[in-house]
Amino acid sequence: MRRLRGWLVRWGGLFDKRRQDRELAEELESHLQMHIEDNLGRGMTPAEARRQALIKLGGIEQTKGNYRDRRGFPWLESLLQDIRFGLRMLRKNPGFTAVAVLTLALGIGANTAVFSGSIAFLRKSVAFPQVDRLVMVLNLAPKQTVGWTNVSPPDYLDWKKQSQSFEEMAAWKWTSWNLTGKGDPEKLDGALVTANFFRTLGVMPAMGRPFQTGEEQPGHGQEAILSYGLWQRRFGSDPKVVGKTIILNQETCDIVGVMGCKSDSDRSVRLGRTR
Amino acid sequence: MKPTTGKTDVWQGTLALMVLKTLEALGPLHGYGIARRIEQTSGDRLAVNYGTLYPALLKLEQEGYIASEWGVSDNNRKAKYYKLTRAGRKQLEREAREWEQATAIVARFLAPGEEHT
Repeated sequence: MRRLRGWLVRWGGLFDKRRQDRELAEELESHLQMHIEDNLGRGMTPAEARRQALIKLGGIEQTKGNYRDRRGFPWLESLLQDIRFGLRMLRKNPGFTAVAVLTLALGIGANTAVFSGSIAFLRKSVAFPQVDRLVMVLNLAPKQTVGWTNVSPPDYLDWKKQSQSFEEMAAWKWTSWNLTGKGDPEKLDGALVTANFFRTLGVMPAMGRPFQTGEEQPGHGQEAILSYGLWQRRFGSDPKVVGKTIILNQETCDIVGVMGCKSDSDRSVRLGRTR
Repeated sequence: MKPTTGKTDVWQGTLALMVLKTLEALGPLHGYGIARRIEQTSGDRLAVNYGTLYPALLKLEQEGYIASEWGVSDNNRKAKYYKLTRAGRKQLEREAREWEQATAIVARFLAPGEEHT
């Protein structure tokens, strides 16, 4: 508290310096005079009295210096002095100033351009609405170098049930299937997702419907949503593809939807089971 | 070149305590009076360096332990008088106590060792 007070007073010391300098000079002067009078009282000659007092008092300028250091913030004052000096120098050398300012302006401008460009690009590449509210939740593996590990289905279910911080929590798992049936067999990349996956990301299939909550329960049929690319390639952009079937890993799945062409991923998804 | 020999400069830190004590004993006093009083009390074994005294007074004033105002000295000279504030009185008690403790501890170390017999 005391220190704070001293600090505040020292801030005050930055201003009104002339009056304070004068006061200190007066104080030291009166000190000197009193000393001289005392010396005279002890029977010294006036010259000797003054000489002894001056010796005793020591360097007046040095005392003033110490006093000033204590009064304000010397580092701040010298910083201000440096700044003032710098500005004066800049004004004196307009050519140099122009070059420096121009260099800085170009540098800052280029930086800003690059960053705003790349941010726009990065943002755009994740084509979900409200990307700033999307997070990925993973397990941190203790004492392991790999860092993140996959989440087990029971963990996911617990998190979903117990966490209060998320509007919605969905899970997925990259996978691949053997696509058979009409035409050549094909190895297909895709993902198993929970029913609320699309609701969580805030996207909808362009055609058909997303998965529904009841569909992830055991005993339900298999549902799949096609990527735009697969729909074009394998189904000839069939507008009536919804309701037809697709054979993945020799299981027959109902096609319930097709993703729009804006989706960058060429992966199809299939409803996964969390139990 | 020092005009007198055998004098010690006042140690930093103890000067504040001496100033506070002096003001407690003598009431409002100007810088010169404080310096003289400290020198006299020490039996002229301490020399108050004025370059140290005024910054120390300023520090005490900034911290609110002493207050100053301009007045007139006994022989009609304008002088700045310092006086102890209530916070200063408390600080004096505290510092005096700490100082006594510190010296007591050091004294024990310097005392003829009873444990060593």
